[in-house]
Amino acid sequence: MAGGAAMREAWARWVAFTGREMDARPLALVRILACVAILADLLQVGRLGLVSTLFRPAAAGGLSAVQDDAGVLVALSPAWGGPIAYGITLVGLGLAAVGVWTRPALVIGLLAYAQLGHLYPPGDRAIDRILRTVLLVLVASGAHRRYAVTGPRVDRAPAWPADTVRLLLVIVYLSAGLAKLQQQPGWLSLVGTPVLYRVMTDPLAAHVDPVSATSWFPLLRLLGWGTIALELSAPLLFTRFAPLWAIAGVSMHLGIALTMDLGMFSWGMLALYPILFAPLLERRSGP
Amino acid sequence: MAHLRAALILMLWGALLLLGTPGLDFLDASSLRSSAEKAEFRAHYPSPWAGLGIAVAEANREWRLPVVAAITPLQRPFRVSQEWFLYRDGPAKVRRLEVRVDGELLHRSADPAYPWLADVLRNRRIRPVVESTCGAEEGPNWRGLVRLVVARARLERPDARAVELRCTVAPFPGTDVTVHRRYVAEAPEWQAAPR
Repeated sequence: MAGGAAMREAWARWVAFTGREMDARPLALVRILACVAILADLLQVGRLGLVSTLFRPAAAGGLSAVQDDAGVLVALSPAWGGPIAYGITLVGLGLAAVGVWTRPALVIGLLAYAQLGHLYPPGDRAIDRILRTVLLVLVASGAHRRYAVTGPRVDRAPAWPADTVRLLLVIVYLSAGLAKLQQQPGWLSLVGTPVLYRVMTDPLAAHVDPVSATSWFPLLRLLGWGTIALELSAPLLFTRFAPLWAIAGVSMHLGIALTMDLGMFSWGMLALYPILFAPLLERRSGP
Repeated sequence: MAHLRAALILMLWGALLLLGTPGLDFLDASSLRSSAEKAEFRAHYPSPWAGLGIAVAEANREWRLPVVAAITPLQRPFRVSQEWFLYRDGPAKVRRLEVRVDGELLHRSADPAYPWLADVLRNRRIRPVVESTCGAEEGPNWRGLVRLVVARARLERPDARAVELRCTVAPFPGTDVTVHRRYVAEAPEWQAAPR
């Protein structure tokens, strides 16, 4: 009986939690920033003349010998399926960014963006999957009703999509921190070469000089500990400390952007951060 | 309606947590399966942690992975698999890619003195192919990478006769360099081959 009452109370709290509303602006900002990050990344691919190289099977002149079997457009036309998917992605996410026919454009754009990933799996990284997941969640949110060219404007929107994005970020950062320690306990070592040194001086992915950086070991060791601490403390994103955590997260991602050449990664992750600062808007608005 | 929404969101959160359970990336169905593996694990780690680890591996195998396998096809249309493979460790050695056209060094990774094609080779979608080509095991896309570099070289130097991609390794900080792998394509066939 006591257990049943506790379950009913827990369920009632969950219903109340998932029924909350929030300021719609952070959701709209995430919609816009995530779409812009992807668009900038894809336009860079176009600027470098890599669209046909990346998004065609090897038999049609593409780079990758590996595709997965969910590439529908390329099955229709090996030579043009990829470039067509590229174009549809640009148009769909572009419309979603400015807020025209937003939700259908977002769904179509995401499907086409996924086709690019099926066509060229080596280039479809974690950040691509994270942003697709977030934008898919935002399809069901009120993100299309603010900072949009068309459609009625709303000031408040359901909060559960933002909470779901928050959960996703907790999972991602926790996974990153635990995976680091599982694979390389040296992240916490007091002696030896700091792991962050090897990460930041890898010439294939970063541009810090490995010779001069040998004098930075104490700083790099500290930053490595800080990275682990930040990632393992990601559950704070569900507390009132979320904005503080987010400030540290912004610092980490800006540091990554400055020292490594990971392309869209830092900007894509930062595109999600307006949701983490949303509690500040709620506190300003007051009860 | 509120209860239906709450139930659907609970299912969504449950699916996300199952698909991307932090800390279980490295476990697959064969982890800690045999008695010998479990005995070795118990010998290596103290109780109760060893028992906990084995219980987690079994729960992952018996319960989580089958649910993940059932949900995975739903993720394919939008390609939203909840696997991150984020940075875990740095490379053990300093790896660089060098590109030579007719013997002239034009590109070396992260070397501003040899910047040719750097914007392409360091693009986030090309970089994984460079990394796998120059990695410990020969990657599957080295032919495509060589084809790309050859095409760009011949665009700028129509009279070029040979393009060489050279992967070098060195222990940190990278001053004692050895050649790890070479791929050469030569006119007129321009067929890439490892050397």
